Order: sequence, then C-alpha cells, then structure tokens
Amino acid sequence: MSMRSPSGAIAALTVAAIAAGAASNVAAQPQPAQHPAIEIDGDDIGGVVTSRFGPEAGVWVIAETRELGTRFAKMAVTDDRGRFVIPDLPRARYDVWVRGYGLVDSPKVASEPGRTLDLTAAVAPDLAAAAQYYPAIYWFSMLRIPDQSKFPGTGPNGNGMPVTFKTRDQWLDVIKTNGCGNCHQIGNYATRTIPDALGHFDSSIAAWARRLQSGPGGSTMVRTMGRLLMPDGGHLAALADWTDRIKEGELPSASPARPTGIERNLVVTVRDWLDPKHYLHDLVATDKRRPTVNARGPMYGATELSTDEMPILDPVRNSKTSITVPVRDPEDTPGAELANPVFAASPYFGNEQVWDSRVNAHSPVMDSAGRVYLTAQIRSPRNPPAYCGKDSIVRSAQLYPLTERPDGFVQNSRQVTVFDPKTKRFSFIDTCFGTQHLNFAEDADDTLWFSNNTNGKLAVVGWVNTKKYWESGDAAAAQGWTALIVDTNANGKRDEGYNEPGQPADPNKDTRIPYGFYGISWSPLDGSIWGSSLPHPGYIIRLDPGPNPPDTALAELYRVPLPGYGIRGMDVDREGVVWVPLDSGHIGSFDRRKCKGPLNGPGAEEGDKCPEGWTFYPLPGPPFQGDSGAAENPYYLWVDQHNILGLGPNTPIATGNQSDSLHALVGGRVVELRVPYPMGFYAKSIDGRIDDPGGGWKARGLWVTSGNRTPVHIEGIDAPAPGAPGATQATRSSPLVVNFQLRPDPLAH
Amino acid sequence: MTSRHHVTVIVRPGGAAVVTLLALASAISVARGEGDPAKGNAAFVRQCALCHTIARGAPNSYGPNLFGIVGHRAASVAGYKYSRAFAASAQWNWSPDVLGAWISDPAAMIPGSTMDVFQGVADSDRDDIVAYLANQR
Repeated sequence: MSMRSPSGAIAALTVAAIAAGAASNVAAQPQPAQHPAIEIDGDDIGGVVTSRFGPEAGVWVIAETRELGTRFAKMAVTDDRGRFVIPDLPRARYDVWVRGYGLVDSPKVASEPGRTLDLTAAVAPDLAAAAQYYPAIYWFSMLRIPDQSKFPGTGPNGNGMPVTFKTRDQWLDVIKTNGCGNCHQIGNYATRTIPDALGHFDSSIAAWARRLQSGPGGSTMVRTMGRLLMPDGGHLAALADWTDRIKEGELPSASPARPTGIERNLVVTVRDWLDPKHYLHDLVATDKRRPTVNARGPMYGATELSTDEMPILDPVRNSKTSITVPVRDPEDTPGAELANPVFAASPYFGNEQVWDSRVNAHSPVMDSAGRVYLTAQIRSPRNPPAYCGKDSIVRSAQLYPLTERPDGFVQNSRQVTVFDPKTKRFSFIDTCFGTQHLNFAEDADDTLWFSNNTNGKLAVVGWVNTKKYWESGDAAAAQGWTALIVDTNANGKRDEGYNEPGQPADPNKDTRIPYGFYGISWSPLDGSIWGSSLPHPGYIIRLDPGPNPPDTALAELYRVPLPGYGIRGMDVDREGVVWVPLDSGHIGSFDRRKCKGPLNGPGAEEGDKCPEGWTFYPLPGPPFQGDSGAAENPYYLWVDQHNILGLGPNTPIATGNQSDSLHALVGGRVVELRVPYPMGFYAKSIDGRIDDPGGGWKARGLWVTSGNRTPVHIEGIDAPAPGAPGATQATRSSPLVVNFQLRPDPLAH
Repeated sequence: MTSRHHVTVIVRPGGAAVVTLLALASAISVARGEGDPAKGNAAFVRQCALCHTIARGAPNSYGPNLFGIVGHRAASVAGYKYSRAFAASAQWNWSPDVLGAWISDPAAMIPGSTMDVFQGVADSDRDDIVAYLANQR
C-alpha cells in the first residue's frame, strides 16, 4: 500500500530510526568510543563512517574518479563498526562519499589511494529524501494494477480489458519482462518523472502518450502500450496516475534493507563503454566452460539494434575502444532503422536516428582460443544460401528446409560472426537458421548451440560444429538444425512424419511444437540442450540430440506452473538442474530427476508432464498492491558453475532488473549483490572469469554490462538529483560494465 | 437522434478486403448517434493519442496525423507509410460511419493492419470520438 509523504518531525524521526536501527541491529556489542584502526595498503582508501547515531553499518562508501580512460567508481560496504576499505584503486584523485538507505549522499571528499578517512554520513531529513536512493522496484510497486475482477478480459464493451488477457499474470508479464520491463527499469528517476524536454501537456496521460512515441524505441513502446489500452486509458492512464502521485509526494510503502552478512563483503567496480546513445545486450569475458580463458583480457560487447560498433573494455588499463563489425554483404543487408524509425523526438537526442545497426549483434560467447562468436546479421534475410533448401546436401535442410525470404529488417534473422582478437579478423558463418543466444557444449566438436527466439514454423534449434568449421571453412557441412519434435506416440524415438501444431493430432505420430528457444544452455548432466520459451506463462524445453541430431533429436516441453510465470533467460547447473528467472517474482528451478511419470506420450506437447519437477524461490522486494510476488522482472539467470564469485559452485544468479542488483540464490535465500551507484543498473546477461586460479578473490569475479535500451536513464555523473540522468551530454551515462568481487570479510584488501 | 448505418467487410479470395456500406447486412454494424466532441477529446487522449497526432500540420507518428480525416480518402495522408494490409483494403472515404466502424474493431475490419494491436473503442466512446475528429478541420 502506498502512503502519503509524512512531514516534519515524524518523517525525520522515522528516517533517523531507520538509520539507527540499521546500525544497532547489526552491532551486537556496544560501539567503542574511538575509531578502530583500519589497515590499508598504498592503493586502498579506508576509514570509518559515523553519523549522529554512531558508526553506520551496511552503507556504501563510493570512490569515483574522472581521471581514467573510462568512468570509474569503486565501492565497498561498511562493517558492523562502520569501517570500510575500498581496495586496489588505480592511482588517481577520487571523490569519496557515503550512500546508504536512511541517508542522503554525504558531501564528496577529495582523496587518493593510501589515505584513511573519517566520513560523516548524512542522515536523511525525511522519508522523501531517503526514498530517492531506493531501487526502482520500491517506486514501481506503487503502480496500481488492474484488479483480479478485470480478468478474463471481455473487451471494450464488457469490463474494458482486452479479451486477449485471460489472467492478470498474463497482463503483468506484459508490463514486466515480456513488455515494458524488457528494455527499461521502470521506477528509476528517469521513468518516474516526466522530463521537461518532452514539452508541455494538458494532462499526464497526454504526456505519457507522447513520451512512449519517443526515439527509435517508439514503435515498440507504442505497440506494447496499444495492447494495454482500455476505455479508461488502461495502463497508459495508470502510468499517468503513478507519476502524478509521485509528483504530489506519495512515497513507497516499504524501505530496502541495508546489506547484511556476506553482502558486506562485496566490492563493486563500475566502468563504462560505448556512448550514451547506444545500448548493449550482453558482454563476454571468457569461455564459460573454462573461465580462465582470456585472463585479465578485454571484454567484448554485443550492441543489438543500436550500432555496428563492438565495444571493447580493457579492465587492466581502464580503457575503452570499439571496432566496427562488418556484414558480409554490405550492398543489401538491411539496417535496424527500417524497423525502428524515429517519428517523435527523444528528450535526450531529438530526432536523431540513434539506432542504425545492420550487424544487430545480440549475444557473444568465447571459445577456448579466445575467439568471440556473435549472433549477428551478415546478409539480407532475403538471401538464404542454396544449402538451406530441400535439395541441399545438408541433412537438416532435407528434413526441414528453411527458405523463408522476408522483406526488410527482421530482428531475429541473424547468422554468426566470429572475431579473432589475435588477428583482428572477422569470419562469417552463414546459417540457415536465425540465431539469438548461444552456448557451447563440452564435447570434442566444440559444438555451439543456438536459439532463435522465433515461434511457429521457424521454431528450430541450430548448431555449428566449430571444430569442423575451423578445419574446413565449410559452413554448410558444419551446421545443422532440428524442428522440435515431441514423442507423443511414446515409442521412445523420433519418427518420420509428425503432427503439426494446431492440426488434428494422429496419436500414432510424434508432434512438432511451435515454441522457439530464447535462452539456451548445455546440460553437463547428460549433454542435453535446454532452452526457455517466452509464450505465457513460459516454458522450458529439453532437446536430446541423440546420435544423429537432424533425425534423432527429441524435445520435451515443460510449462511453468503457478505460482511461477513470465520467463526470459535460463541456465543449467552442473547437476542438470534448470534455473529460470520469473517475473512472478521468483527464481524457479526444474529438476527432471524429480519427475515421476512418463514424460512422453499423448499430451506431452502441452508441457504438463512434470509439475513436480519445479521449485520456486521468492525474490526480494515489495509487490504491487493486491499481488503477492515481488514487483521484480528478472531478465536472465546465469549459474556460477565454477564458484567464480565465491558463493559456492552451482550458485544461480538472476539479474535484478528492478533492483539495481544481481540476486544470488544461496541455500534457498537471496544474497543481494547491489550496485548502489550509479542507480539504474539493469543487466541482461552475466559472465564470470578467473584471472588467476591461485590469486584468491582479487583474481576472479563477475562481469556484467548494463542492458537497458536507454543508458541515459542511468544516474549520470553529477546528477542534478539522486539517480537522475546527467544534465549534459558530457555527464549522461553510457552503458556500464560492472565487476563484482566477493572478499572473505568487509575489510580484506 | 440516432442514425443507423451498417458497414460490411468483404474479403476477396486473394486476401484483400474492401469495405462497402450496405444497409442491414453486415459483419460489423454501427448504430451511431450524435457525439459530444468534448468527451471525444478526452477519450481521444486516453485511447488514440498514443499513436496519432491531431493538430493541423503535426507530424505523423506511429499512426497518421488525423486532422481533417472525416471526408478524406483512406490511406491518403502524405508522408505516412501504411501497412500493406491497410493500403490494399481501405478503399473508402472516411465517413463518420466508416470511421466509427473502424475504431470499434480495427483488427476485425482489416486483419494485419498497424492498428490491429488496439482492441477498439467502446460503443460509449465511439460517437464522441467521431464527433471530435469531425470537428478537426
């Protein structure tokens, strides 16, 4: 429930109590009068944070410099005595300040590595001031969502809700991960306010109608909101009501907890790359199978629709560069601007067509030689190679030809581009199937498996035998794909001829399912391939390739059961357990070993054969009023199979897209890996790397890029308000690269 | 006073559709009354302004500018790229009746048009919106 802003003494008292409580709850013993000694090295900054309540535990101390080749801020959490050490800072002059829940930012203090500081935390004068530092989820949860009585929708002349929405879960999925939250962190400063540069409007609903048309994302935003319109304005009116109430002073009804326990051992380093106009989807730092590959080497990013530039970050030299990724057929390869035209000015970039990528690189992976594979467009969708047709030598094409020739720019019409950092050369692998996410198998062929995020007739899973490709250069011979065939006749094998989806089913045949993979991972348990599929309420699919995949691959479909729904990415742990992030406000797991009944046979194409395989773990954060799950929309999940971070092997880590964080699931509970500065951190993938297996915590960590489509929404340098975008071109945020490291204790250095 | 007109969508074998006005024989029928332009303005902001501008000379948006739409030929706003489905099918002038039918259920009237993400307006808003649009000239 939202509440109005308290005023005066009550507010001050409440915030003071939060700050004091946060400190005293975690300090079991009385605090010493004098500052305890802080041990630091010459490249650390350490000290103690106090306020009028004494030592401030569980708050962040942030050191930021503008003297390096990237934006650079490093931050650490105070221990239960208010002590902190920000370790291993590059030599530079830093601004140092304190940020924490119950506080406002302290004045910035100039310092350098090797210094100790006594910092005074600034207790927030009221809840309104304190709440400006809360992650977006606290503000987003104030949004009023339709009552359950509005579902199922009966249309504009019925209850107003579109008939396409059968349940509220389905509706929530559209305003969360598989709609608005797919690109934006709703609730951060930039989204919970209306920028002046948008213009003047007679009403907030008119302002929102205009804002959603802005920039190259306008078409997508309008299409999404068009599905949510109702006679009373529907979700458009709800957003206007939300920002109106916030403008009038209404505040979140819940407050975030300060970091506790192991969360205080976290060191977060923020750099940036690229520029404020262009966004990324993912980055890669190493070979997921061997995370020591590319030790201390550069990161590489995939910029999807935004640009043909591939950003490169050198974390040792703190330098950022980029390289232009080519397309194979520059004459007729269409660009993203065709599908994402600017028809209304962005408040940040006016009418500039800031997205114009032809490469459309979605995701990268790295092999053991350090080569970077991008799912990327190399040619026009109208020009599939001859070997994709039925007369091909490629067995997959004989069985399931892929000869569509769509016009224009098609988002998931990609192939494979490989960048070799050693030679700086690009190679193109012309796949018949579209590509989107990708992951290697741990096999002798270095098989690379691909999702294509396409439902219907083109729902296939593809692969490239990269060993064969590098030996022969023969893309046709190295690739294959399969439609997703379920063993509905229960004979234990894949048969020729199968039922098509939506057609009358012959019980003597297998059945093709029309669900495309989004995320894709290889299972170390048995070599099967798993993927997530987006149609509501979300599915996971297992593909057993069999001995000759084009002929033998069999699929199994598992629908996400309530209370879970709303899927995007996924990963598999070393035990073969599938982990998924869900916008129902959960991390879900599926352990096929728990399934009791036969997993094939009639009905297997519906996905309900093993509800007992699922377990759900609630994510932290407040729910919408009238809902139960956190108002979180976690985009992706990555399993730390090799204990890179230090929370244990096989730790599932979901992106906390509404929470400025990553959610790590440890022992059934979430450890929050928060990025307190800049606010607005939102990720679509995670990678982890070990730079030196014997180097301890300093030589390993997670690497994550921000993936929201509006980097400018991230808190800028010298933001005019907490969490606000930078006021000038120079201070607006570019996409971030965030490094997470976990120390053995909060003062390790 | 209420006028009653009916709009029929005829789908040709090739998939293209044309719309004719036929009395009392329709797939989509419109019982249109006198609308309130002021109420129509508010309803337009709630349900139409997401995609359309209305002021004279305002740029096209996700949808075309709608100034002066009533009486004009469909699919004729300069500079706007219509969907293939709409351009092939919308062979009419925008009378109040046709406009009322269109905004009531665009997906049924021309499947595959840009506007088919929108469920359509309620009967209680339709005449007000049409009246508001008719005043924009």
